Amino acid sequence: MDDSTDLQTQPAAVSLRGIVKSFGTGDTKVTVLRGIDLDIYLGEMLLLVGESGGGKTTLLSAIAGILEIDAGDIDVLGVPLSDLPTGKRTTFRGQTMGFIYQQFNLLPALTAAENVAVPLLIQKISRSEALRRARTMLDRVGLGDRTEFLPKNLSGGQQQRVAIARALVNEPRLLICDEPTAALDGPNGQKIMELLREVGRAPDRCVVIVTHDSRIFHFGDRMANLTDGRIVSIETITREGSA
Amino acid sequence: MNYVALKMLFGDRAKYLMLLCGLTFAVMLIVQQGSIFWGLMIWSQSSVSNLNVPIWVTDPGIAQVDEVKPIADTAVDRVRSVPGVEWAVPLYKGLLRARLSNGDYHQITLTGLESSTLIGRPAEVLEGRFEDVLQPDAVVLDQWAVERMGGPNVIKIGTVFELNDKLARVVAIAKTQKSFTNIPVVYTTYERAIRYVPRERRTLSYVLAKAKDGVPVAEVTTRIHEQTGLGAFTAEDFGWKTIGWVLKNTGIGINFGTTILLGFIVGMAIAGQTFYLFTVENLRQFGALKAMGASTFTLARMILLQAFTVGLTGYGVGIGLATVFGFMTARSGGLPFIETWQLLLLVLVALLAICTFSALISIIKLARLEPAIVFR
Amino acid sequence: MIILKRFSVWIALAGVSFAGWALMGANKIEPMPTPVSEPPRSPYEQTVAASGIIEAVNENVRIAPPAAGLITKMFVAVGDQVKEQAPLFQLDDRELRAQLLTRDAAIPPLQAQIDEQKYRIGDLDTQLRRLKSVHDERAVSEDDLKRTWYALEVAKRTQLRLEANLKQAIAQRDEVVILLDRLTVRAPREGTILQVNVRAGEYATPGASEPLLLLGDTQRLQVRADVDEVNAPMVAPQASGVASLKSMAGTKIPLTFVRIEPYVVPKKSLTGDNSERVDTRVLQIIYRFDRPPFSVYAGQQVDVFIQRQPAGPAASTPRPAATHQQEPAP
Repeated sequence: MDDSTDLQTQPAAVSLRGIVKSFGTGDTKVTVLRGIDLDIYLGEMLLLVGESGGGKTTLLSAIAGILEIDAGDIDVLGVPLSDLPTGKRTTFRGQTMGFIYQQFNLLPALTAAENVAVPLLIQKISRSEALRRARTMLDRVGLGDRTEFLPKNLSGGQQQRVAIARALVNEPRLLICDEPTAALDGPNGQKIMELLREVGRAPDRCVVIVTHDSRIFHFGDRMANLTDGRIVSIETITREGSA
Repeated sequence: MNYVALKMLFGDRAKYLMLLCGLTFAVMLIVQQGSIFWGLMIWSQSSVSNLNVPIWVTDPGIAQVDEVKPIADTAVDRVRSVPGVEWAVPLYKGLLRARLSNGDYHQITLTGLESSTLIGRPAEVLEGRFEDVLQPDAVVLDQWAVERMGGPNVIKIGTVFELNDKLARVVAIAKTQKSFTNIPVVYTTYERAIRYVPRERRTLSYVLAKAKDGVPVAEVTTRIHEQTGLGAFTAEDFGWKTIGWVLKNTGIGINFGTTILLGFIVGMAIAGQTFYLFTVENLRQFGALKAMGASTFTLARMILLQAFTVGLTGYGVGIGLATVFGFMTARSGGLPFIETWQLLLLVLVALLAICTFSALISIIKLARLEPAIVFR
Repeated sequence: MIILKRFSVWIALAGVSFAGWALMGANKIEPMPTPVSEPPRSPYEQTVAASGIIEAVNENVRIAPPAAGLITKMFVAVGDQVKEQAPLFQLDDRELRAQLLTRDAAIPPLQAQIDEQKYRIGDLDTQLRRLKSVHDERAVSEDDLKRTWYALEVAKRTQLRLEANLKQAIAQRDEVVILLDRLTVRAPREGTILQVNVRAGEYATPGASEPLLLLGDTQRLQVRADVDEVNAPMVAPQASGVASLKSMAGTKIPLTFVRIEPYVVPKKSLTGDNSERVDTRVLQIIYRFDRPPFSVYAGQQVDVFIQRQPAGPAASTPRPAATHQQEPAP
């Protein structure tokens, strides 16, 4: 409670104002986001919950800057993302954001270490340096002995750990997770969330997790409920254990 | 990222092999068809290439080598009088019927070489000695004559047959390139050839000549034409003239050309489509990379690298297989199959073009790709 | 390099190398086989080529029979040196010889008759003289005397006639002798027998296309070079030349200009049989040469190269392309 109060005194890392997004035109036009206002702060883990089709993933894409919005302003770490040209936005994304997907999206042809190294390679870091850092990262997520495995030889939980390592390897300020536990069973989901909290959550990083899995709600610091394109409530989660 | 691109390409063994097989098949198809076509064309002018002399002189109205238009005997001396001509010798060439002792008739091409030099004789003799053609009534056959006239049991050294009711005795069998019409070739001396053939007013078919060292052949042919009024061609030009005639006047050009074109289109379509499918299947992976911050330019480079790598590999395997095919089937000389570097280069350029083209389509698709796909 | 770890890449490299190797092997143009003997080459930069034939300086004599007849004897063989008037061959003379016998036989009877007549004249002369010496008109009548005188005169005329007959018989015999001599054909001049086309026992007719014997002077030979009439303007008088024997192009015989035959003749094909295969007309140029160290023979074909003047009129006037039909219009 003290933490979050402290956090909210500093400026928001991500600031969303009046986000509107609709798909299609004419009769088939569906408005998914109907004016979202949201602030996300460094050091917190924000859960974005709500029913399916409520616009959670769309909002996530908007925050990541991979979806053009119809109206509103997105400000990430002081950068007006919605005004950046596509190319710069891509570079910005590569430097400041990490992604974790529901389907892991590992490259099947690459080993665990190589998969983790990809974001570094995109930053034009040399292959040996990238692989070294990737192995360290895999060590941190508990897969130090699986670095040369291909994704198909890893279990779902292990694959998601690789994905987490990949998302964190370039030290992103913003970690975006899309249903990270949906493809996993209960115990594995719990473990992944514990890992995200341990490794992912950091004082200079904000973590946004989209989920509808109520079993992991207690891992978050705050929880925003997105229903019908609007944020209907934001509640701060009280934690019994210390962070 | 080149590393990642190649890993992606090679990673899925089954997909990669499919892709490679498609490209290999396409390349093999084109190279094989093209080589057979070219082989046929070479066969059609083998009368020129088999004699292997630099300059051919004859009537300027000549259309092709097998259509003989006799010229005056003095043409030899007139060609010799042209500056830059090192030597010039007469050649007789004409169709005649041979009658074997078993009663069979065969049409043959009688080739009369200048007797003292035997210029124009085949380089390789399979049996006997070519010089024995100077003996009385002696003739030399080419290997295809043996094949056409009844095989080695009927025609061998010492076999006697009739040419226009006159005696001819086989003294040697020479190795030549098969001709398109596959009419057996009988070599003899120019003087004897004239005695074999029915009397005509003019007997000289061609004057074979060579330019002096240091004088361009093309210049000498021009001079011969200007000074004698005769048609003078380099062996190469004359071969092309013959090929052009065959293409224009027989169905081969149209028929084979269509086949080759079809093969080319089909092959290239296969190659392009296979590679396009490959990238489309990997679209989600590219989307993930894009979400991770890879620029479209980087992704385009990756796709082009993949396209060129698989294209070049397929090209190498394809031409290798086509060459092996040609080696196996055409080694005996019974099938026309002649590869040329021009064809291989053309296929390479076309293949790289089609790979680039399909890669470009994929790249356009990728540029339009919403990275949001990865969240679905 | 990750690429090098792929087997397919190695196969591809192997394929390219194999194709390259096959291409180099297959498309290599084999050099022309060396000619069995060197082809004739011109020693001059600018040349007029001609085909020539070696012949005797004095044109060859084609010996023919004086009359049709069977040949009974040949006195000469090919290559023989013959003096003027040396017998060459003998035609069948039996018929004439038989005639000679009868003609010969006709002479002695005539001579006998003449002798006989002489005695008759002597007898009549004696009679007449005796009758004249008797001056008795009774014993010798004027009539007897006249008759005897006439008889003597007739006898004298008869002798004259017989003598004329004898002369005729002798002349007739001499005719046969001369005719006989004519059947022995003799050399019209000194020379070498170049060709013998008849044997004893064959029948010779005058006017045959092939001469029975060819007599020529092989000591001094010359070259008759045929230049295509189209090339005729390129030949300058006094131009030197070089001849080489067919199939011995290495043997160069330097030629010295003698003359240009002023009349352009139809070319006879020197190859094969030469009857009326007339294509074109040729200018003939005569060259003499010193006997080379190797043997040359009259009748041998030679390739001739004549030096052309660099600034010759023909060299600067190229013929238009369409004039290849240089044969005379039929």
